[in-house]
Amino acid sequence: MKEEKHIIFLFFLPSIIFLAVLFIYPFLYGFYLSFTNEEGEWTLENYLTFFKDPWEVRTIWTTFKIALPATLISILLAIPFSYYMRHGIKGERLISFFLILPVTLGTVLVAEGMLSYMGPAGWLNQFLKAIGIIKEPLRLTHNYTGVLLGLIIHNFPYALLMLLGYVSGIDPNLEKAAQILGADGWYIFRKVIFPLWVPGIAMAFSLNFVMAFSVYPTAVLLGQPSGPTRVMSISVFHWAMEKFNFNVGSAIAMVMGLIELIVILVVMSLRQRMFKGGSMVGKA
Amino acid sequence: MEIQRDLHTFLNERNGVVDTVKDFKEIKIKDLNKSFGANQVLHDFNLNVEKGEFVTLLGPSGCGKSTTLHCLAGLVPIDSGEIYIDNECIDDGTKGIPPEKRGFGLVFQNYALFPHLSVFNNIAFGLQIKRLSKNAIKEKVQNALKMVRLEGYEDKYPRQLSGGEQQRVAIARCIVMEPMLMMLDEPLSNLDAKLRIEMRYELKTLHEKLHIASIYVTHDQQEALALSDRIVVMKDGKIQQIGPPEEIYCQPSNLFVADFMGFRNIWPANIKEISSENEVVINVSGFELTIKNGSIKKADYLNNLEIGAPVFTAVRPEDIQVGNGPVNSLRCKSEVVEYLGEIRHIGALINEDVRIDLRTGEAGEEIKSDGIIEVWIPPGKILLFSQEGDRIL
Repeated sequence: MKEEKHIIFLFFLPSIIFLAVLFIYPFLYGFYLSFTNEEGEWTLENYLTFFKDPWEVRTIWTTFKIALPATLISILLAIPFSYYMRHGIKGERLISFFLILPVTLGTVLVAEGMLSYMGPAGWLNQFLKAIGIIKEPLRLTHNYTGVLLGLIIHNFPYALLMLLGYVSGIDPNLEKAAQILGADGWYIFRKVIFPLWVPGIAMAFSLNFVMAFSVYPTAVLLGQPSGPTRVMSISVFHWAMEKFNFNVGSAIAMVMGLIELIVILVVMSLRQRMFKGGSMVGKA
Repeated sequence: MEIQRDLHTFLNERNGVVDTVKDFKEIKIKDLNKSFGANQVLHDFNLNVEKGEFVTLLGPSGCGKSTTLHCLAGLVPIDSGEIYIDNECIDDGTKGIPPEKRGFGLVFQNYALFPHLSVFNNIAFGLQIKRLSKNAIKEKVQNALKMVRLEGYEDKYPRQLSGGEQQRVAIARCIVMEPMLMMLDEPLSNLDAKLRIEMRYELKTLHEKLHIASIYVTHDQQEALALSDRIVVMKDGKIQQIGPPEEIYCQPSNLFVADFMGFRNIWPANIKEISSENEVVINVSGFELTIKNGSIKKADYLNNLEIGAPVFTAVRPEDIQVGNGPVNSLRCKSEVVEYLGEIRHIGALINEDVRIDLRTGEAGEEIKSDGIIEVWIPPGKILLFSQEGDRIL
């Protein structure tokens, strides 16, 4: 029996090494860096550098202002779509293809595309001008709106696929049972589907928020990285890669991580409050 | 009859049940057809269910029994045909009354309890939609829980219950609505053998108490026989036979029903001699059997049969007698002896081509595999079918 356990452990070893090298070690090293100076002495100086500078502290608020609406809009848009698609619809493969496309292309390519499409002389503005809706081109890039749109376009597919995966796993017989007991569509959504969906929505929200909160390429390419869209990750980059102060960079990264953790905990406690029955979700 | 009715009233009063089921005589299903793509799952399905009747749809998986329920419930649109409650048409294929307005109940195979709701709220779900007062809901839920013997389970959640308990909650959730028709879709198939028999007994008791018209779907002939007033045997979306359990069991109208009802010995044969209207001698490969069966008279059909015409014959294993008999005596070589408690099941060979299954009581103790046994088949216990599978005798 003991030997068997050792053998099972060996099977896990590659993934443990993978996690240790690529995730645990860098995190612990960053944690260590954030509390030391360049000479390797323990200090809180890095955190103080960040929190004493209002220009830096403001990035927290800036990041929230972008990440929270982007996540909320993605999730709120994805909920009705995935609810409609939960039993499978015609052309689902094609829809999934177009949803996954921006994900596979990567943030940079999508951002570049949006720059030319939604820019002052881009197709969108030319079209709107041509049909007479606007006179002056809309400013949709290199500002807050640009980053927000970019994030939504990038995060919406994730949100949709995650929510869809969860909601289509809810036993369809529950809906039928509710219907036979006299419930109409809206009642079924409120009393059966939504309560069972809450854990999935909470999960999708958390992951989406973390993605949006650590946004970098979109904020640089579609925003104004020196001003209104100077998010925390830009600040980290600035300290680490432009000033070559890894210690302060790490400290800011740690603050970012802590904020994300707090938001996830808040979401999870809300979930607990809304969902008491346990997660017995399964198919027949 | 009168006395029986009084007894029911008495039982109902004793159990605090008030018979408030909406008054109707029968539910009629007429010429129901349903296809999924190119696959027609129901062919001209006709069935009447009377108030208080317990009808079972019996058949192998994929024969359309569950589809019939879903069509009746309104969950699946029908292609053509009509469904009536007395004279009121509730579905004619163009527009049907939606499921939530039909007043039918459905118990799902996997129970479909709401996992996020307590037992109380599961059972109260439909009553809350009806906007009954809190007290009325409480009383009805308590009554339903008493019916399924789950008092005190109000605050538990489905995941804390065993399979049998979940099943009972599902039934309580259905009966609390006092449906006109209660449909049960293989409700016992997820339970283990012992529990299945207990729950079957409870279902029967419950039906005796409440007399809700019920349609029960199963592939288990024992369940069907034990529970039903009438059984509908189905195959490939077509009704094979409708009748009370005794009739289905003893007088199957075709070869499929016979096979399904445990006539394990089915042999191809030829007519050798037609002695009278109800006596025929047939030739099964290598031996002769005399059939004398007066229960179904299809004299015309019999008269049209020529000597030598191919037919099928069927015998139940339990109808075959061990020992020397007056007619239809056979010698066979036993291959397998299965000990089943009070009986033994023996698989034997009459000759190279014909296998025979028989069941014996104590007489079987002597029989070893590879031994020679003398058996005989009473002429009245043999059924005769045409080559197309229709019952002749």
